[in-house]
Amino acid sequence: MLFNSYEFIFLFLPVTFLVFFAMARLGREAAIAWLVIASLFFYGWWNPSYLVLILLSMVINFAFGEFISRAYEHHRTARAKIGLALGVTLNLGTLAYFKYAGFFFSNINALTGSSVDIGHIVLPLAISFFTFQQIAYLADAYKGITQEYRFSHYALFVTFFPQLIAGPIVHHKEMLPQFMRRDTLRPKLDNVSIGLSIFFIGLFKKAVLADGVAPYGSSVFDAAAAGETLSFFVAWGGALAYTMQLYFDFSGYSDMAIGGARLFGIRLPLNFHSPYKATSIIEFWRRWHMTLSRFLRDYLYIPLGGSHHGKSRRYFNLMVTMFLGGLWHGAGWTFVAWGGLHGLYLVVNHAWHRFRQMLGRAGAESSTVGKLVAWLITFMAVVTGWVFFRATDFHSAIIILEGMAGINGVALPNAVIARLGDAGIWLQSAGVDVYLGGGSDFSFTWLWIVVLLAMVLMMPNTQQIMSLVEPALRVYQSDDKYEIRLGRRLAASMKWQPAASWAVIIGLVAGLGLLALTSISEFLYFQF
Amino acid sequence: MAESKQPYRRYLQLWFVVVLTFLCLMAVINYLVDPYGMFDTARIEDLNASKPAAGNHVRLAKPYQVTGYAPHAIIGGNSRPEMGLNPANACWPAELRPVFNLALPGANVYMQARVLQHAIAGNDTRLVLWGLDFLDFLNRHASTSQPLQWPPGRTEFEDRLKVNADGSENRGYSRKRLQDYLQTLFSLDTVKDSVKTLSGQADRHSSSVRRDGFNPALDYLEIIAWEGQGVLFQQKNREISRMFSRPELELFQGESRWSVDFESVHRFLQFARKHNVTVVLFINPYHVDYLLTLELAGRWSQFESWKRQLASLADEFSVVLLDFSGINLLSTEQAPAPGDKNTTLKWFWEPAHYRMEYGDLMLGRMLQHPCDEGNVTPVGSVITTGNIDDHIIKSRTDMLRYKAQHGPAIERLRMLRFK
Repeated sequence: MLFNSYEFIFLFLPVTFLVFFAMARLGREAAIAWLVIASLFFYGWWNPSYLVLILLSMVINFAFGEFISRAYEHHRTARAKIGLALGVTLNLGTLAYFKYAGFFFSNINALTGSSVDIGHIVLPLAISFFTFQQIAYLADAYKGITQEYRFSHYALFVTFFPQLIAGPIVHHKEMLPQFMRRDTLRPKLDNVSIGLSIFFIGLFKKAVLADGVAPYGSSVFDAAAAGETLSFFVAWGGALAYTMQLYFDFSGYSDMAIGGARLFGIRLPLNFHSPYKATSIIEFWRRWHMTLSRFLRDYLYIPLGGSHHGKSRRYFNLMVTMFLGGLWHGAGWTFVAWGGLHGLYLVVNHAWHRFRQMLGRAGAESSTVGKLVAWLITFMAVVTGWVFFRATDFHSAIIILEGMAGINGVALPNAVIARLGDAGIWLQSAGVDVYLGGGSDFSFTWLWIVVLLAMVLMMPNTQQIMSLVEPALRVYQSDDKYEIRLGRRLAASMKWQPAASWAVIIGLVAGLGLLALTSISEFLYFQF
Repeated sequence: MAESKQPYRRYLQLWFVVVLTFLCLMAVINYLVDPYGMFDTARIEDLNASKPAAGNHVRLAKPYQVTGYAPHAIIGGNSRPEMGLNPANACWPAELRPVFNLALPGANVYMQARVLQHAIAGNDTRLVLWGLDFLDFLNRHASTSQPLQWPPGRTEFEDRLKVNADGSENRGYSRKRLQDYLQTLFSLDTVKDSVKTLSGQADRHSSSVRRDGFNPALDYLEIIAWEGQGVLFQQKNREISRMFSRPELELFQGESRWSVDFESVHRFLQFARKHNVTVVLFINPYHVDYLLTLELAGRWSQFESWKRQLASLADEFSVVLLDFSGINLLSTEQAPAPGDKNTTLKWFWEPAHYRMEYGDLMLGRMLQHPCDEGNVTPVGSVITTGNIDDHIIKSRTDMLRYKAQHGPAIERLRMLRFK
């Protein structure tokens, strides 16, 4: 079931909410059991057969977790280690089978000329997310950070519907204690007000903004996939439109997850904090898909040695982490390239920091121009990365990048040139080509990009708007030094509170989001 | 805690009222402005008479419009008749009025046939003029290499039709209608289009679809005013060239002389005969640029086979088939040079779409009604299995003669194939 669907908003969410608090009168366990059942129904809505896998996965991981926790309690480290290794292997093996087997064999076939056909393996929804979440749980159990002896509680940690499909990726230790609080069992008007407000801001971002700009990115990527050459503005238009779509889609989804959970009094960890304002790639990754970054850092980068074994090893670890992070998003070389590109960006960024250190400028705030240049470089690097991320194959990614590099020249639609009058004639004399058709698409593409870019750079993000009411766990405290801040006053003045003005604003935002539901589209991150 | 509950309660109450009021207000605006003409709300001059957003929503709106309009005569086909044949033309005799233009831009033959079937089911329809288009009958080899499947896979569009492909009642029709109405009322896209409608009334060159389903194609005038009609020709010629150059385009299913498209015509003619509806089939006029592009792409013999097949279909059901695609004085009007923003062609918007003026002559011919004594330009030829050979030879000869006399024009179009 999609968050942005009538059945979720008008049936599933209210029914689950009301029954949860009715069951809570019977006791915590009844309420938790209901929430697990409702969440499984939510998951099974797409395809009931997926339920078999997630249930099996939970039962096995719960058993491993219990085994590891008991070994830890009895100081039997070797047993715990074996349990962890087996558990992680099993999880990764399952993920590898469902997500990467086809990719693996297609590469083997391409390399060796063999023709191994393993048939079509259906990728179960959310498998990447619930696998990572359970690996983190096993690792935490191994460290003694967390333990769980009730299957229903464990099942709730994995399946709690707001975060089940595409995160935020949560830890057992940050979720279960919240469900165990006494006041979680009583509906609270403040949670409902805050939850609904965050949820509908998210719906607006997804249904109005992301879906609004989506066609303008898709048409360009489709053209590239069909082998068409793209001129400068068309290629940039497509790449930037997708850049905006992806942010508003995924951060909108995350807001809806955070808002939905808050209705039940549960705070989820934050997933986004204005990533496009970042003035460095390191900062970008502190703000983009934050729970995945945290997972990769804690369960991959640090176990690999992190930054403790010298510069070269640190850069190597970064590259490995980002390559695998890329591969996590999808079984394709374009994702690997995207991850590798970001790994490279991070290495360059760290090297730059070191260079500044050597100059004695470490930690010093840059000038406004310096920050602008840093932002521009960061943003361009991110947009370039998204081209690989979105393109169906390398060939189409290269077509778009060639267009962005100006290799196919600069061209404007005849309809635009004709309306520019003398400026149009001057542009043509300056070498700007003219093409027929596409005038309206061109204008709307750039109108959307300008408006959305202004929003991502100037508007406060959801957690800043909701900052007076603790909207999420692990709220990010941004540092002025690391971001471009154009709308400082706006951000300071836009603080949500239960006031009439906010009821009207959020009411309109919700109304627009609901009206936009007539053209339903899936969230981009469901494919990962 | 009790004292801090109050602001949240008030917040939620007000929020709920705002959401509900906003949704209802938008639905009322959408209903009153009626940007797609779906609710048949009164069209008030300078308020909502022109419908700039309707052109992109005819597949949604026309199936419902036509049932309310209850026409005695219907025009079917794709965008060519939609922009060319005027239901308000003086040629229409009183007993055939009201007339509705049910042509759907971009619709395939099956969809055209199905919506016509929907329109005549349960209505007092007396005449259907159905414009057939060669390109609509060309399909990729992959789809024609399969055995003929009838009916083809059901589309969402068919839920909007009162009858199923086999002529039985579509039981989901009322539900779909209610769903479409609600989704149109409570939709952000409709709100945007309502705003576009309200703000676009002063634009005399705005696209619109009239209550009788006719699209006057006034938006072409906007392009001509800014960019010139030569640009329209250039762009369309390139597009046509690309479409005809696609590989493996076939007319028939496998080795048969049949396809889903021909089957659609066949089944519709059966349905119309059962409902005592007279049908006139016609082949749309094309500008000579279009015909040359078709010929340069090596599709002339397919074009001829297509006409033969239509002629045998027409004979089988004793319906009239008129061919307006011949090369004549009207179709050889020369396109203005690029940059010329003042010259406008009298008979064509661009190579694929004829103007209403041409359509008026066609109506005169098809209705055989003396509506405009002064207008005597003869257009169209009736084709039957009896005269098809002569007709084909004449068309081919006309084409060869034209090619021989217009070398540079041929070269210009030939070059498009390599761009």
